[in-house]
Amino acid sequence: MRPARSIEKLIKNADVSTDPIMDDVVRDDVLKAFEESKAKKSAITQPSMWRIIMKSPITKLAAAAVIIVAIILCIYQVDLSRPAYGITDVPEILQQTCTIHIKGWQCAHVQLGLYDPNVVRPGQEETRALMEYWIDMETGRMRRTQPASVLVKDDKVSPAVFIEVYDGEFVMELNDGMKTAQFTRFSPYLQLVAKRKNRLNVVQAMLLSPQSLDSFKKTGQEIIDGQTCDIWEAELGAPSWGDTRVRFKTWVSPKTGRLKMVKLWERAGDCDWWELAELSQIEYDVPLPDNVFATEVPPGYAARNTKETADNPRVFQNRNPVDPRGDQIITSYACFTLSDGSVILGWSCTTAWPENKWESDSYQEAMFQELVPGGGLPRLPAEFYTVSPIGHDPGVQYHGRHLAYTRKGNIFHEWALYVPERELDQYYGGLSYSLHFRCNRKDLTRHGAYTLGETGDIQIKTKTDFHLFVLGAMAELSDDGKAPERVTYENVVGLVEQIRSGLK
Amino acid sequence: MIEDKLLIWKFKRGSSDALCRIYEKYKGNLLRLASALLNDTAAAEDVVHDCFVSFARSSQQLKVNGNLKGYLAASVANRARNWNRARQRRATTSLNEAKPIISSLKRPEQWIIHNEELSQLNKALAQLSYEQREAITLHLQGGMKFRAIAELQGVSINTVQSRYRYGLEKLRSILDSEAKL
Repeated sequence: MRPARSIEKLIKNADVSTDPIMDDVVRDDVLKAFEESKAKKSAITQPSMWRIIMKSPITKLAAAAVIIVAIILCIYQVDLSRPAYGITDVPEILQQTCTIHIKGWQCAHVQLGLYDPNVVRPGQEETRALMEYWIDMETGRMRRTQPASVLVKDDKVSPAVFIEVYDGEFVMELNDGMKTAQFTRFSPYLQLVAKRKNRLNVVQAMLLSPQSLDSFKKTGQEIIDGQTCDIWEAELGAPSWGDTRVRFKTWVSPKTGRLKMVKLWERAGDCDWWELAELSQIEYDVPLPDNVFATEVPPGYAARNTKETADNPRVFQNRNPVDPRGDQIITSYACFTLSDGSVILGWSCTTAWPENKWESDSYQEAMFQELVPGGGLPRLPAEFYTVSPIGHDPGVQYHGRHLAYTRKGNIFHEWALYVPERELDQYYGGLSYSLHFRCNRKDLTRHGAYTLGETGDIQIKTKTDFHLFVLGAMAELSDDGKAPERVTYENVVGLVEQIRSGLK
Repeated sequence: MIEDKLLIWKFKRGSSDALCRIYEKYKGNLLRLASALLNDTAAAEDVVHDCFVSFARSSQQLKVNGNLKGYLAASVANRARNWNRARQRRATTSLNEAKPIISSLKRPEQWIIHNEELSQLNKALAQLSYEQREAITLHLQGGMKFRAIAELQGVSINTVQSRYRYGLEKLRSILDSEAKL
C-alpha cells in the first residue's frame, strides 16, 4: 500500500491544462465584469465619511440624533417592511433559482373577424385554459401548457391547448385540438441555446416583458400566503398591437424580490376590460415531479413522427413566402443583438423548386463571393433590408450590411449585420424584431415585414457569448461545421463602428 | 503571500493587470479543485468562470482575511456545494435521469483539456463522501488550513481532521485496488 504522503502529493500536484482560446474568452469576461463594476459609483468613499463623523464628539452626537430621528420616522411613518426589492429586480432574482413552477389560466387568443361575435368573444370564460410552466433553470428543460386557439363545434366554445416538453435533447409538441404529437431533435448547439433562452425567458413565461418593467408603478400592498407583497401595476400598448391595451397587476414580495402572482386584463378600443390571464401559483425551487420532462406520447395522441425520425431543425429556421404564390421563400435563422444594439441575422432566399436557377450553385456562389464585409447585402430575389424592434421603438433606423456567408448543401446563408444609426444604451431585442423584406425581381416589387420566429433573438453581452452563439450558429449552417475565420468578436465590433461612422 | 497582498491592493484600486495576474495564477488551481469537487468538467468550468466574474465585480467590497488562494477556493467550494445541492434535487425527483444533464451536453469549446490522470483521480475522489472530498481538496488543492475549512463546513476542527484522515485512507485503498487491477 502506498504511503498517505504519496497520495497527498498526487492530489497536490495533479495538473490541469486549459485551452488557450477559452482562457482568453474567460479572461475577457472577467475583465468586462471588472470594468463594469468600476464604472459603478465607488462605495469606497463611504467609510471615510463615517470616520470623519466619528472623529469629533459633536458630530458623533449629531449623527446619533439623526439616526434616532430616522428610526422614529421609520416606525411611525414608513412601514418597516419597506421594499428592498422592486419589480425591476424580478428578472435578476429569477436567475438565482433552480426550478420554477408557474400555474394559472389564460384565455385562448380570439382572432377578431374569424368567429361569429355572438358565439365567440375575446375573454369569455369558455376560452380559458390551463397555463402551466415547469422550468429547470440549470439545464433549460421545460414543460409548458398554454391555450393556443379556440375550438367551436355546434356553437360550443372550448380552448385548444398546446403542450411543449423539452427534455434536454428532444422537443415534443402536443396539439390538443388535433390530438397529435411531433418530435424535434435539438443539436448540441440548439441545446446550448435552449439552456440559455429557457433561463432568460422565464419572465416572459410569467407573461411579462423585461423591457416594460420600468413602466410599472407601485400601487399598494396585500398579503398573499402570509407574505406581504407590493402591488405593481402598468397599462401597456404597442404599435403592433393596434388599439389593444393590456393592464398588468403583479404582486412582488419586497423581502425576496419574487413574483407571487400576476393578473392581466385586455381591452380593444373602447370595449370594457376583460380578464386575460391569472397566474396564481408561482413556486420557486420546488422539487420537479417525476417524468415532468418525459417526452413520451400520451395515450390518445397520434405521433406524427418518432424520436428516431425527428427533424433536426436548422437554427430557428422560419420560412416566409415572398410572392403570393409562394414560389420564393425568404427564411430567417438565428438572430443576435450585440451590446451596441446592432443585430446579426442569418437568412436565405430560395425557391420552392430545386431546379430553379436561384439554387444553382454557381449562380449564388458567384454572387456571394463578390460581397465584402460592411458592403451591400446580396441581391437575391428578396432580401431582409432592415429590422426594427417590436414593442419598443428606439427611434433609429437599422442599416443592413453584409457580414459573412455560409453554405450548407445547396443553400447559401447570408449573415447580415444591421447597425442602428446611433449606439443604443438599452436592449431592444427580447420582444423580437420585425424583419423588413423587399423583392429585387423586375416582375415583382413587393415589400413587407415578417416577424422573427417565436424563439426571438439572443443577446450577446460578452466575447464568450459571441463565440458560443454567433459563431456556433454559423458553424451549424455550414458544410464544414466551421464559422468563417475572419468573423471574430473584435472584427465585428470594429466593423460596426466603421459602418456607423460612415453613416454620419 | 506578499505578492498576493500586493495584487489585492492593486486590484482594489482598479488595476486590471492585477486581476489578470490573479486569474493566471489561480485559474488552474481552481479548475482542478472544482473538477475534483464536482467530477463534471462542464460544471467545474461554469463554477470557476462564475467565481472569477463575481470576484471581479467585488473589487470594492472585497475583504480577504486569510490568503487569496484560500479565499478563492472557499468561493469555489461554496458554488460547487450549491451546484451539487441542485443536482441532488434533480436526482431525487427524477430517478430515471441518472446521468448529469450538463455533462452530457457537448459544448462547442471546452476550457479544461482532457487529462486522463486527472480524471482518474477525480473518479477516485468521487467515491468519497462529499464532506471528505471537500476537506481533502480544500486542504491540498485549495491550500486552506483545517481551521478555515471547519469554519466553511460549520463543524469543529477535529471533525475536519477526521474527515481528512478517513478520506485519505479510503482514497488510498481505492487507488491501490485500481493499481492491482
